[in-house]
Amino acid sequence: MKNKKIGIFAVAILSAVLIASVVLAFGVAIPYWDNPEWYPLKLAPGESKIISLTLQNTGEDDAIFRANLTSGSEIAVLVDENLDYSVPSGEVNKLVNIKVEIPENAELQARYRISVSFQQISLGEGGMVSLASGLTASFPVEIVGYEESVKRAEIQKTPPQEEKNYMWVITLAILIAIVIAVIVVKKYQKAKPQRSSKVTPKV
Amino acid sequence: MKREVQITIIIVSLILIVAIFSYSGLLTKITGYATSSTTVVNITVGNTAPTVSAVEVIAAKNPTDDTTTTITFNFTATDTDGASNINRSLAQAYFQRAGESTRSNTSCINTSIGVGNNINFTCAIDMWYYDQNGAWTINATIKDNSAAYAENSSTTFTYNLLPGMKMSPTSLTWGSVALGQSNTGSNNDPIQVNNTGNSVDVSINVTSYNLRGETTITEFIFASNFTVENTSEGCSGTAMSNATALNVTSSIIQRGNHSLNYNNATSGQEQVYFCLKGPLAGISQQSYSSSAYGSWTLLII
Repeated sequence: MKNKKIGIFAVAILSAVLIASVVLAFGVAIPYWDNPEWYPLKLAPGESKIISLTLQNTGEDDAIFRANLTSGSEIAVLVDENLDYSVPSGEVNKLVNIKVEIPENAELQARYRISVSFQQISLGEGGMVSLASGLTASFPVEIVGYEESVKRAEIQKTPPQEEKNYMWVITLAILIAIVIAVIVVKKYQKAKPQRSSKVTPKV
Repeated sequence: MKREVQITIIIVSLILIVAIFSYSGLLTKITGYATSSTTVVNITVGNTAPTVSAVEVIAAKNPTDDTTTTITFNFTATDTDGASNINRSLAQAYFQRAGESTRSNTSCINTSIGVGNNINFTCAIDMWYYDQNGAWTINATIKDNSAAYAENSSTTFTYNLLPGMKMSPTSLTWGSVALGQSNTGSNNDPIQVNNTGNSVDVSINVTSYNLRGETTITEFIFASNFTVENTSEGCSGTAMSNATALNVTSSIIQRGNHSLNYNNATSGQEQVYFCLKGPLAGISQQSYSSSAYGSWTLLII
């Protein structure tokens, strides 16, 4: 009994050789962070915004990732209908949408962390210890006054250069119009006594 | 008195119009050129350095997992000596950030034939997956035919954060293990985990599940029989627990070029070893696998 061998994974070995060569590589791009510098999503109380994370699969095979909101549920919710994201090999722009909604009574300078875990859905290979990969994508949220809010920054975009050029042209046109008007008035004033002298009959 | 005011307004308006026409060049066209005569005039004109008058705004860019991201943008070079004085083969651009390798294109392409004093250039620069997230300075430079130099580094773009990973192999095997045998390492580990993004201080959590017999499904090898660690096959790592995420002690992955393959933080890599502690008892000889309760998961955080 002592020397009795238990063929653990004996069935698995062949399958493992076939599947172990598969390389899974994936990532999730995030537009906000707290390292190396503090770069949070800034929203004011009562504001909401849809934030998109970007799933990328640069591995050799297509993969399915299940998204799960693991922190920040008090202000955030995953809004896509299907939270199992099918990402073909080579796809680097699969959007995962999160709605962030700040309560009206949120305190200024309060900070939240929104975390979403992405886990590869097991393909169900039998006869071995299969490994799946996953990662957690997190970003900070800071409650700020309306002046600092990212929503306000979106509204306050610099007017395009063309508008400034139009202002210059309009100013020039107004000046010219004034000059012409003055000349016309002057001519009219000069012409008026002459016309009256022609119409008035001589007695 | 009224007449004097009117005359003043007219004179001021005329001066204004003449000034505007003169500024716009229209006056020259109206009056024509001076009467021609033959004379020799020697004029020494100093070269005026060019400028990089405009740099296109670059929206925030995502790194691409495990590879490069090509960022293309335009800039305008201006030379008051005329566009022909701009050296079209010396338009260059750099993306710079303190502490980071500068990314560059030293042969930007001119995309316009040169209208007036301006020439437009297009530059494509590759950013790597491990380049740091944050604001990068866009530095566009130009030289004229007299080697006078100009640069514009007044704008930045944002390079986003990308947590990413690649691991291999994606399964574990042990071959045959005898009952009573202890401390048997997997025969195909370590699992190599590469950071394929630019996040730092990344730790690894492993979630394991009991293995069930393939033939006699009432027999198990419990997850607690396995350990995981990041240093070696020493079987002295953290004991795992069924369906529980455990941190691999002292496993920290930094960003780096994993093609260097140093198998450490410098190259953005970490290695994970698994061990069957044993000794096993009370189970029969058969194959055991993860097929019943699911794959073990390596999660980076």
